[in-house]
Amino acid sequence: MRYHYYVSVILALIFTLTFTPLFGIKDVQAQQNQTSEKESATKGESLSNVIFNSLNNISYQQYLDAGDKNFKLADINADVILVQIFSMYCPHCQRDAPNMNNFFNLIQKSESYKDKIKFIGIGVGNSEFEVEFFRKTYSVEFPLLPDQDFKIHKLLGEVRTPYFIGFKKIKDGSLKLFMSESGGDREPKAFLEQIVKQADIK
Amino acid sequence: MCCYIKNAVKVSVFTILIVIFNIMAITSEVYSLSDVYGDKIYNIGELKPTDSNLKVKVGDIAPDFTLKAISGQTVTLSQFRDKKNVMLTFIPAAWTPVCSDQWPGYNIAKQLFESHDTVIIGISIDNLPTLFAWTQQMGALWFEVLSDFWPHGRVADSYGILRGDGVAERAIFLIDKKGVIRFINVSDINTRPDLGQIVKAMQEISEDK
Repeated sequence: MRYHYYVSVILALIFTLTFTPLFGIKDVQAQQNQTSEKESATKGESLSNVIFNSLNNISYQQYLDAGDKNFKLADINADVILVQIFSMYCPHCQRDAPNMNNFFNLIQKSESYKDKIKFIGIGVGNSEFEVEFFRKTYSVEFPLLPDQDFKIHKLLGEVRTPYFIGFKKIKDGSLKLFMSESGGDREPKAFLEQIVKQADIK
Repeated sequence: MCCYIKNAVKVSVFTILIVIFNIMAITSEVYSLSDVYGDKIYNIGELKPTDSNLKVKVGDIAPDFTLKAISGQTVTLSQFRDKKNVMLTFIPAAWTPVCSDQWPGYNIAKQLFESHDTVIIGISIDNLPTLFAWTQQMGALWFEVLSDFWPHGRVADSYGILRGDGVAERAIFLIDKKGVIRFINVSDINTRPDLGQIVKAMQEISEDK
């Protein structure tokens, strides 16, 4: 009887080791590492399919020049679209807000880049009231849009905040992801140089 | 041989299900977590939305209490009577995802609360050293944070928001200067209440005076 038990267990082991790779769980740790490497390169691509709403804010609509108050990122009139994923409730985003304002002002003051690079923020888990409160508290001048029910956040794999996603518009008008990375405390000038270099714009 | 294979398949399917379950647990939801906490947050996963029965209602006198704060002060609710409106904000537990992204939002809204003559009192069932370490990670908070650790959850229980597992609900109580409860929000523990809703309730209290 004991012999039967051992044979069953050995056969079970052979069976499990043979079929487990079909479920993609050959080595959980290795797979997670591979996934995070892949994700860091592609996280954010799905953002190009999202339809945003400019909240009937005239200054947002003028800045984005997307043709309609409901728009996709590809509709924004720019060569490069940079998205900051933030939250009103995130201490790091709060601390980084003046820095992001300086970064935006640097772009706006540049004759070379002010029409080429457009910058928006998406407040994950934030209501319209909360993004507006954050905007007023830190005198933010670039558009901040709400993602109250975390739909966009989930689409992005629930990245930690702040997180940055950069798209470049290619010839057919579609978007190509060129940047997807976490972290605040960015020195504005160095960050702009990084965007220009990675997006390969003149 | 057929018997061995049957048993082997049963054991294998069980093993595969266990592995898949573990992977799902590892990758459960985090919800907008600031990277200010690094990897120090314990992911508790999705919880039952609410697990208690309120013992108070709007219009009741708020149950009084005295608790110690991380500031070293002892705070009594009734000390604000005739002076300030009070917002009690109960959070379930320190070092967990949604809670860690709640009080930092109120921390930048000091003026907003002051403009409605309202003080915030944060309450958690965690002990003082834990609350101290956790709130330090958020940056300095301008409002008092009290520990309802011992007798465990007594204040949360007096309001009827102590869950079966010993943590509090994610709940907001707005109390006016007469000590009357004017607004109650017991959220789904997995989500954060909208600040807009709280401000609207404060406005209504302000308009009544």
